[in-house]
Amino acid sequence: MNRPHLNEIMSSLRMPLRDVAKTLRVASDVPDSPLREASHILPSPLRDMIKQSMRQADEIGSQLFERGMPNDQQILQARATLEMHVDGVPNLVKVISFAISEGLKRQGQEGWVVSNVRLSMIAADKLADSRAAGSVSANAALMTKAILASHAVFTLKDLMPSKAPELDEASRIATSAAFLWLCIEREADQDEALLLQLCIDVTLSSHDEVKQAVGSQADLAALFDHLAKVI
Amino acid sequence: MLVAETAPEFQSEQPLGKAVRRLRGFRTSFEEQVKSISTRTGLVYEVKSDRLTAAFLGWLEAFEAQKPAQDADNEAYVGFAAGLMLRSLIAHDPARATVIPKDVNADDPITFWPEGYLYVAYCLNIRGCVLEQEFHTPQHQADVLGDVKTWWSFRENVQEDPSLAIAFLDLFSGEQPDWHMPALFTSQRYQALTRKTFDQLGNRTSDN
Repeated sequence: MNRPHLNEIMSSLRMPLRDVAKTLRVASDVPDSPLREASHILPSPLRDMIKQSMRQADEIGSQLFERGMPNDQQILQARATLEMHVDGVPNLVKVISFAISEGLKRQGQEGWVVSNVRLSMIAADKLADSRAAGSVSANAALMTKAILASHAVFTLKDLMPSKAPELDEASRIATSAAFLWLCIEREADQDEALLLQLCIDVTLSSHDEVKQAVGSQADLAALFDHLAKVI
Repeated sequence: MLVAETAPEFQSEQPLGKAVRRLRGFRTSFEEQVKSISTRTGLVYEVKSDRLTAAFLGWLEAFEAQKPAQDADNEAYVGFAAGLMLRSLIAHDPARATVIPKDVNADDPITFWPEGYLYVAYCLNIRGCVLEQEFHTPQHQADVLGDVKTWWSFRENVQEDPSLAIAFLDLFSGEQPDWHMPALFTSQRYQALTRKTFDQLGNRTSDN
């Protein structure tokens, strides 16, 4: 038993039920997940029980979490929420969670969980505070900083003795790209999937600038403004 | 078949010169160029999205860095900016020809360097459209555009010095290339001043 990591594991077990279900679903998705690896050394009846639990978790997870692309209306509403209202936080979280997931997938990351519960708490907290700030980019920067500081995006490895520092970089890019997506002024009949792809591409190409700016809300907001105009 | 014949109908709600300064407009117009060449020749390209974005961002930075302060230089800057675009496309090389038809002429530049052909076609066509739309100036083309030996030299030289792409695009469009400092935009006013100085020096020499 590796005791120094016990607190982290215990802390992760206190996460809300939705995140637990999501984590289990992700665990069942990843071929070399710690849960799968561990199941090989277990006695057969216990292994079967774990396999069955993972299948059930996958089913529950699929019912609980939508994986599809949000529609245009949801995306516009998420942008409006970011701009001026605290109303619509669940929709904002759904849109942002999807966009972060796309950014992580694009970078070849596996076995991560985007905690919608933590995103919801951050959105409710930060957007209530920041309505005076007004601009989309300012609020996008505020949210990005808060999400990155909260570890709302984590991997299964984060729960185990070996950590995954590479997710920090991937998470920074994916989260920044997600909020950059909402900062862009839309044209008529915009292809939102393409727009998100461009945001991920641009953020990947500008990863040094993003890394530098992410420490300051003002710098990050200015970078979002600049990149949104470029796209 | 020469490059100018592949000019597609660029779809843009705003003037093309403005549209291509945004990633969305740039990508749409580039994809239209790819489609146009593929339809005409049967050549198939695979385009890497991340490299195309990097090419655009690299171009935009270079474009902004030397944007002229005087309106009188805007027309000349269109040609220079197209050269910068060609340099960035060659440097990031986002396209790969995956299918080359068997019946194409071996002496055709498109066979010799399909990716370079695509980049030159795109830059020349954007250049031509912007000059036409904003300055009502028709674009000319040099005969060397269809000369495969020139393309040999073009490919070899830009591998050593990517900025020479700017000079080659000038050559292909019938303009006077600057082979010494191709990556430096020279304003019309400065060029006129230089010409005047050289003329005066020449007169003095002949007087003596």
